[in-house]
Amino acid sequence: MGAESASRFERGRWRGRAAAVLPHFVALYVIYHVVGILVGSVPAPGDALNRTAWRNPSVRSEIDAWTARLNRLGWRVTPAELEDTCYHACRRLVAAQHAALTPFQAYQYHTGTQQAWSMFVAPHRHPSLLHIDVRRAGGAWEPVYVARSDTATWRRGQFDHIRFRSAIFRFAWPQYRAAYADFAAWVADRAADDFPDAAEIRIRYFTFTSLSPEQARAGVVPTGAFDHTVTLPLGPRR
Amino acid sequence: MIARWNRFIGLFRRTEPGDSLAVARIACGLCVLWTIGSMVSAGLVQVLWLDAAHGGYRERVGVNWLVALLGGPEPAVVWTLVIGGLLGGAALVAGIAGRVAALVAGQALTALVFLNSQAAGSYDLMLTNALWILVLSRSTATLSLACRLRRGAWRSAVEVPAWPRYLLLIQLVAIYFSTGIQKLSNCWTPAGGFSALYYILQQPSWQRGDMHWIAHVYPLTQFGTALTWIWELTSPLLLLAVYFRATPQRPGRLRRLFARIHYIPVFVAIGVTMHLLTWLLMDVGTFTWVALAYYPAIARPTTIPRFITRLTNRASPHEKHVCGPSR
Repeated sequence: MGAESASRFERGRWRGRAAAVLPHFVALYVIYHVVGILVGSVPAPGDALNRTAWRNPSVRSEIDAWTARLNRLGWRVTPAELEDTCYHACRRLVAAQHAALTPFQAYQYHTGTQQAWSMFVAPHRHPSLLHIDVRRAGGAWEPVYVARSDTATWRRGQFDHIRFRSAIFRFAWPQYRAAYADFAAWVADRAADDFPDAAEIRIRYFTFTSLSPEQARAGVVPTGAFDHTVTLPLGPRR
Repeated sequence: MIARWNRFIGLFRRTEPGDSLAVARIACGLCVLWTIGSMVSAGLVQVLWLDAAHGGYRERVGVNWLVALLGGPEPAVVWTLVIGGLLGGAALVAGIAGRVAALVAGQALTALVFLNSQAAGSYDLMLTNALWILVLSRSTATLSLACRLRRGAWRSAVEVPAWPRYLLLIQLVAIYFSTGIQKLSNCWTPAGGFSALYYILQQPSWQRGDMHWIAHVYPLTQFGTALTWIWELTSPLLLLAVYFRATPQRPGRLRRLFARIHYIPVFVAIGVTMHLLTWLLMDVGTFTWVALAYYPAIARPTTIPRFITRLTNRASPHEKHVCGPSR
């Protein structure tokens, strides 16, 4: 009986000690977690290191606008010089962030607490709209899917899903050429099944310049051009 | 130094009603169900999360540590993660196995999203970050099936550690501030005429419908752009405001100013309006709801229980819903 109460007393003492020490460990962990959040949240323009992305008209117009602004402020710089300056600054920033994140990387990767918050950084002034057409033997091209259309709606439930929208948005950028080729092949495989009498499929983007508010109010129709055109025969896929 | 550290440690001994974390848990669970469930219902699991050999469009998908551990991106593994994520989400909504449910849902979602980063968005990270904080918290102490089974009532007045709520708050502010300082485009600034929102709404990728009409209310979009930009850049003030609110007895002109201008209600009103308008005008997945899932963390710890009590008393005035702490 005496031994039992002594061991209960001992257990209680240990529990008390643990309760006193635990907040210190929790505090250290929380400091580590929060510093990881803050370091990870520092903008790291990783995509900017891919110079093919700089060829996009939306990016070009941003560089031109900033060049004009800096020149007005007295810093004589050309768009090419500004691009170089930004590129090297981005490289340094990404390298510094990578170094600062090293103690947190494994933790954030395993717990799903990575930070990347570049949301609507800049409007895309030259957006692209996905068009998919099929052609029956000897016939004309027929649109089967046009993004945001209510008439060409083939597999709309899939293409219009937010996750596919994200991917389709990316395919129009030069750094996603390979992924776009994979996507086109996948679309062709589905079309071969869904349109048994079609001979060919054409996948492309209509890239246009967004209308200014004045143009939209005046009823101007957006102008643009088709690009990223991929045409594939469907016969071999059946 | 030691005195300061001990004062700091006091934060981790602080407890409060668990309702804020419980509401965040339910909201996160619903977001998990939506984000994974919508993939299943659209038949996109194999298309976006499996490689070309199994019906996906990508030649090779990304593999994180969990997928590698489970044997690679095979259909059985991916579907296990899908089902695990859905069960985790449902358990979070119901409020059972709180920490385990959050861990399962969070890890499943992280692994699934990693399979195809081209089909992912910041809303995924917002959700997985919130789920990790739920792993650290006692989010099923109230408003949960666990509470009902343990105490015979859906609600309990048992207090839970407050620090996970502070973490939610810090995470929310980090997200807003980080996204604010990245808005470097000319269009977000006065030099670009605060035209960012107008042009973003013209991007077909995220549109719900035709948005040409927005040109007729262009000044409103300019106001919205300026407000969003300033609101995000000044979001760290929210932490200061919450601290001021928790220490009203202390002196200070700034503290009085924050109270006079009702900083926190104004911040919440702008945030909720901005997120709801985003949801109304654009298809951005679960973004709006994941962001709003963090908002219970802003409320005073007693506000949500009081609100729920008022709501439940109105619904059934004769029933008593809350159990006191049993020790």
